[in-house]
Amino acid sequence: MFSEIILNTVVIPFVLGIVLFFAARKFPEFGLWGAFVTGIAVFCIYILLEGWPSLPPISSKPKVAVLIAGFTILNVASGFLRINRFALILGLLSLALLWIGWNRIGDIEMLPRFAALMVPVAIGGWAFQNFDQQDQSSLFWPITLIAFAIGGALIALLGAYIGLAQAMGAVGAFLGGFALLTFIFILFRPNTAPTNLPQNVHQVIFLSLMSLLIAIGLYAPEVSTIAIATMAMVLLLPGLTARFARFPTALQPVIYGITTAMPVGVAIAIAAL
Amino acid sequence: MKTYLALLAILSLMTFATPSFAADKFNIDPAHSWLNFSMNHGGFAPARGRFGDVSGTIVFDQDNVTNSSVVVEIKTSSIDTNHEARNKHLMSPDFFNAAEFPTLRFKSTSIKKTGENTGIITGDLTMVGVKNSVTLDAVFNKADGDKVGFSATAKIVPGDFGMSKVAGFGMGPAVLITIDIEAAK
Repeated sequence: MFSEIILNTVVIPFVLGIVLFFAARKFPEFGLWGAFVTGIAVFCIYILLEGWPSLPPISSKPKVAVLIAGFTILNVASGFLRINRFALILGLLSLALLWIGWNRIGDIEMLPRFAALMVPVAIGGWAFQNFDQQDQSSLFWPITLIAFAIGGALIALLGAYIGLAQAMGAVGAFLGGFALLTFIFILFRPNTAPTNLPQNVHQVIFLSLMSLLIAIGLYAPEVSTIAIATMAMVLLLPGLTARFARFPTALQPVIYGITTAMPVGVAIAIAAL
Repeated sequence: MKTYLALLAILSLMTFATPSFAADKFNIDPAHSWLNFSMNHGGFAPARGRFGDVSGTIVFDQDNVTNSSVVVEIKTSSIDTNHEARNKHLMSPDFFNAAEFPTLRFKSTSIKKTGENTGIITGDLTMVGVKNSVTLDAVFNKADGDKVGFSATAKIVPGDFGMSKVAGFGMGPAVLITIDIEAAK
């Protein structure tokens, strides 16, 4: 049983992340189709953990699966149409929040949860609009999203929602596979071109993670709303990456990783209290 | 006198014309009703729990039990497994999803008598939004004035209701349910 959990939550997503790395290296024009394939990979990871969704979805878990699949398609479409990222993320995730939380809207006690979930939605949208990958290290956005996934997983775990904690962690492992290979190449092949994921790939992963976080935030038996809002601060860090340029290239991801651990660590501590 | 006799005759006719309602309706007494469950925990020992909030109605015809029926509603959040953290996890969408599905509901569809005081109750159990047919082996314990008592057992597989995490966490796969109910008019 435990080995199956590790296999589905860590090993398979990690291997898929390694495949993502080689796909991104093999095809330099790893653009919108890469974002599409990444979205499908995240969808498969979710299905592996939660099973095929019942359709039409009658509860939050199958709704998350539908959202991940839908966001994968809409993310590609938005890339073709060059829709403003802030408007896209804010629009899609606000609708996701309404759809998943439809039967909790009337509950006044749920208001802090809805408000807390809008914090990463707003900050994430703003960050994706303003902090593009192109002028940064290839690992800053993946590390940011890994920290966000791990933070979300631990908040879910502390909120007694183990299933989606696993799913958040699995997406983190998926990005971890990519990040580890990228880092190894930075260390041992510093003269080769960096393996950059286009922003649309990061965006579809963020949209998927937010679908999970919305379900966690609204349906975990206990969840720290302050922890969710605090964890969202990690999404601001890609805006500070210019400050990391003075460090050696190989050290930049390490120092940045430690930096991302700070807001996420504080969020987890708040959730644990 | 003639008028009096005519009235008496009409009243007598009305009394005989009225069908006799042998089936009586009883309300489940939450204070004297228990719904317990147990399931295998990774082969080590059975894990046990109960639902504390059970309500519903029983229509009971002692002379012809096939005319009887039962509806039971169980508050999902009343689950108790003697471990607070586990109770919370069981209320999450991984298991009973108490926020989205606050009640479990059983509604009988047929009741058959199998012995002097035993029977089989077949009905629809709706759990986490999924409805499946379930069969209970029931025992009629006692009827005394305005009160009746029953016991029943059933075996269900949570995976049939979409609760795949039960097996995923090394539990079950089947759950044995034992029900002891007192109901009063």
